[in-house]
Amino acid sequence: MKKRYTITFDSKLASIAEPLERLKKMGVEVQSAQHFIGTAVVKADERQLQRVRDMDVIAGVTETGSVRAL
Amino acid sequence: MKLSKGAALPGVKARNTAIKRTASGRSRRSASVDPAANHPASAMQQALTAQSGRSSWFTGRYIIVFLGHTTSEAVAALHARSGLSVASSSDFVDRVAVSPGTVGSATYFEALGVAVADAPPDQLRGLGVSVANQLQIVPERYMYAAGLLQLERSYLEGYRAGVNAVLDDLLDRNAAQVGTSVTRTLAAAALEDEFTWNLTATGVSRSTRAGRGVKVAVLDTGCDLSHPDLATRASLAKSFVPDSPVQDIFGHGTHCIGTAAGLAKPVSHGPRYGCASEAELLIGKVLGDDGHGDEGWLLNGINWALENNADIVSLSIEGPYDPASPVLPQYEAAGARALAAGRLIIAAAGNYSIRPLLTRPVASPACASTIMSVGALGPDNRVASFSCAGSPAGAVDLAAPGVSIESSFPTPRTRKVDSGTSMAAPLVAGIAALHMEAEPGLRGKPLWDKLLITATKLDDAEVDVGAGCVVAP
Repeated sequence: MKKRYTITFDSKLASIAEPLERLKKMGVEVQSAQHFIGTAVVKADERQLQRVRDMDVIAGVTETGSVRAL
Repeated sequence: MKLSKGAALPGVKARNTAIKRTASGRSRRSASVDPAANHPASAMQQALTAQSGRSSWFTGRYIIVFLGHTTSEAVAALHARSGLSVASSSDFVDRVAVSPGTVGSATYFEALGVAVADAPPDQLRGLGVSVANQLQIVPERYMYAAGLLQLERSYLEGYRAGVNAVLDDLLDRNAAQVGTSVTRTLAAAALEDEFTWNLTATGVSRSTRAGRGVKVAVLDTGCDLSHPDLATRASLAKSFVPDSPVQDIFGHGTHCIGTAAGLAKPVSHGPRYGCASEAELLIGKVLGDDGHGDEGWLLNGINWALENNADIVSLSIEGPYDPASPVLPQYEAAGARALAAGRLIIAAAGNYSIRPLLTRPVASPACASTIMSVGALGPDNRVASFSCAGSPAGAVDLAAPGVSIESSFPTPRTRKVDSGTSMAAPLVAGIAALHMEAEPGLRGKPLWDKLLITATKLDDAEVDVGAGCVVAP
């Protein structure tokens, strides 16, 4: 089953464009990308998620959650 | 909004787990074929072993319910079988008893057939042996008033209305006779008429700065773009909520925007409530019309604000929270990239404490070390009852007024008094803009440091209020 994840890319990257392309080639659905802060929201299954985690440019992966007014 | 359960916080998770274990344990035992398992004595022993000691949920005392006992029988059983020192409500004036005050004592409430015992579980086990079929024992729980903060707000509003009514009456009746004392009262009243209390308390009312040349982004539920005080303020506005315009229906965003950057001379009737009245205002709608949203919308909004050169980003928002890893890499990264670019993200610490009963840790994204976390203060300069506290996962960096804060609200109401760290964070954002105007070149981490250095030290602990109360230049 596919779930939504928030990926944080390594802060040393000058651009996240190339790793985003690698994600797409893996079949990961990139729903949105935030280039300035170096994050992306993607949809992936367990197998794809493991491959994402194994990428050397990933600083963190968390399941995408909800937000609300305080 | 402030007492809602929210995402699981570390302490909450642990407590809930403990309670679930107790509940499921009882359930399994009830389903057992062992007849002894359903015996009242067994149930009572389970109650005594399931929860002992004090916690945020349990007082450490026990409630003993007597079934079919006379007062004398119940008091005698308590004393003889458990060695408790027992007082009965019949012994008190008007038969109004108080709870036991010392360990090893109990109070029996005659009209209810119930006793409250302050004793360790072992001391109460003897009761089960003697009269197990005729009593039940349960741990005494703390009771929390739902809507406590609403009550507090209503109380303060009522208090203010009462004071104003008395003042009006005094002025009407004594205007011809009064001397200097009422003249001073008039001066104070005039100041209150001119500025909301949070602007007076932080020095915004005295500042000549207005955030000129500074870009402030407020990411929230959008803005009432037809509001008389805000219609001319937005320089850029964008909605990240699918199929939803920037127009604020919920009201939270309009309130936060008003505090951060409302007009110096508001059109709506009442005192000035806006801080950085001449800052360039970026409005990002990242929460839907119900006040909730998707994390992706928030990340899009933060990214958009920074790409559009926002110097300061204000978030009165709670994001996802993972108790196992409270600080999420995406918010650490967003804050770090903002600081590296000379920007500053400011976030509300969260409203999940119920002081003095319990404090809860700073919520996400405020708990990120690269995002400035803001707690709330009351008019007495003490930490607000709901304001979250610093923890190893994330500190409170600074505090600002956050109780009974008047600001803009979607028309036709135009204004609303509200409370929360949500009201404190945008004031810090606005004051940060005043500092930037006062010291050109001050931005990012040096701006962060400036806000802390210039803060007024408070009586409350740093874990609750950080460096103290923010002060305008």
